[in-house]
Amino acid sequence: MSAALEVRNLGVGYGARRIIDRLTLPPVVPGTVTGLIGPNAAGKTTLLRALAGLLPAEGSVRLGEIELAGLGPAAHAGHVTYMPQALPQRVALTVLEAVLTALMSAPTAPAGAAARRRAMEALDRLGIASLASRGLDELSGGQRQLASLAQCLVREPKVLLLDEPTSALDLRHQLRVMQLVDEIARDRDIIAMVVLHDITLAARWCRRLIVLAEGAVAADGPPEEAVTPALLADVYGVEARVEADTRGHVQVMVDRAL
Amino acid sequence: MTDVPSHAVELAAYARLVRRRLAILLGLGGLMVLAVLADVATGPSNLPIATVVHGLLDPSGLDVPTRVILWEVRLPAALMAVLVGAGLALAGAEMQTILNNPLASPFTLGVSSAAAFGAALALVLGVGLPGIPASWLVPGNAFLFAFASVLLLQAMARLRGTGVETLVLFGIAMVFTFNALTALVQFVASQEALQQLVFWTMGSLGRANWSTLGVLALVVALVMPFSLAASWRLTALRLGEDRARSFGISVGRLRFASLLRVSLLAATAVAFVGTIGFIGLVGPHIGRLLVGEDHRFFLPASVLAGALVMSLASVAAKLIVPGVLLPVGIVTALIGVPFFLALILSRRERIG
Repeated sequence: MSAALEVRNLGVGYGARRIIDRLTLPPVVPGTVTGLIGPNAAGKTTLLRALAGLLPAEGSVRLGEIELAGLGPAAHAGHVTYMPQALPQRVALTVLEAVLTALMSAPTAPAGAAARRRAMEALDRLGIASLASRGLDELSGGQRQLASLAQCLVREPKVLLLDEPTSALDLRHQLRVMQLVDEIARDRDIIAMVVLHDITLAARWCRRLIVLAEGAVAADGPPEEAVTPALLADVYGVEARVEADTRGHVQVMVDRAL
Repeated sequence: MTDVPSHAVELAAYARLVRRRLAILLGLGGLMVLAVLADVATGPSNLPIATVVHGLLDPSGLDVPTRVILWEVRLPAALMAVLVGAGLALAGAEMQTILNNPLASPFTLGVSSAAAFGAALALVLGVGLPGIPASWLVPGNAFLFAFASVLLLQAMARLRGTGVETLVLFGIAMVFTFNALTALVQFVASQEALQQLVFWTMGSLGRANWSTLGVLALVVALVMPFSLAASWRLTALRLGEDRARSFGISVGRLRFASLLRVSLLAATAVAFVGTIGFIGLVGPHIGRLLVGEDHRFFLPASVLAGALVMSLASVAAKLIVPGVLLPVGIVTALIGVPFFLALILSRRERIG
């Protein structure tokens, strides 16, 4: 089994303003998707960016035996990839070129032919090999999100961090992205942490949900334990019912704002 | 779904794309050579192209006046046009990428305003670095101010983090500051000095000689390999700053190195020929329209496009008013705009 990700006493802030203070998480295990949910300004994106090494942070982030906190950008990116919430800009690049760039811009770039092969494999894995020669500027939002995911996958990370990968997508693409992330986490035995807004979607695909509120962990566990009416009232300020549907998935029905 | 594990079809398509781009680069290079020949051939005393080619290959076969015209006047100016176009376009291409702004050019951040102020100090007040020969006083000052302005910009940006918006805002502040200072110097200038200054700001290739040419060639030759070495990282930056950083790129360092290259290129070019707008803006756009934004092709294409447009502008500067050499800075936009519009319009058709 691959290494787990352990976060201890993580602190992140912009100047004097602390966003996350002394946050500790039980090990995040590989092979399944872990969801990160919470209301706006709860610190979800900040936590993810800190784990990705994009924000200076205190404390310890360990991947198995490796301490990630002190690594330089290149070494850090060798273990962890991060997919920002914003879709890639409409740049005059083809999908294949965009994925190649993710590989070739790293200090340890593989040779051209190997890189092209790996890039095509990543596209193939996501079922968008046929889009390889299309320009990023001609793609739909869903297709661009998949191209963006391919940029992460091609780097063969041990930790995959996705910031709201479904927020700009229609229903079918939301499901497709989550299904692919779930499969990839299992197949490659990697850690996948996903920030999501939609609690029902998160409960459907994540084996573990971490609920953040004001930079601290409000709940942590399997969806059916983590998501409760009391938590939703407390953290989101809504009155809601949480019920299992006929297939055993958690469904959240929101009745009114408190 | 049919499974083609080797992805032969897609990879072959990519190989074709790469070949097509190389062909476009070669084509641009060829056009540039033709433009230079035309540039050398045009002038008050018309030299036939055959004489030009012959004289370039075998200078001793020419009579003395023709040789002097060709080698001491026409060729330095023609090559200066190419180098200035190349340098400004490369600077503009990098600028547009690191600032994530298609309107950026070396002049957006006040490089040319600073250079003009430096030149004004030298021309009007005779202020300059001690120990510099009189003929290098104006370019020396222009370079110094242009280069210092970028360093100042970088230092100020460091204070507030290296955000793109901060850089652009500081740059705009710099433009206004130096423009005001230049106006102040102009206000106190004598009639004669004022005329010289106005002429300088219009840009002219007439001041080119082999030593200024050598300096600019050296700068372009030194900077270009570093730009090309950064091409994958610059392409990654186009996909977004967070994305580039998650690929392991130190964006702050990339941006600083790029700004240094931009300032070297723009400051040297502006120092020798004066203010020449538009090339730094339009060269990269032509490059992007022709080969896309893989910077391995985009940077060379911008360089060649900039050199080509500048060369054509130099020809036009001699032809528009017969017998009069117009300042090339005036002509660049006049010749560049139709070229640019034609490209944009032809592209629109292809999409629609």
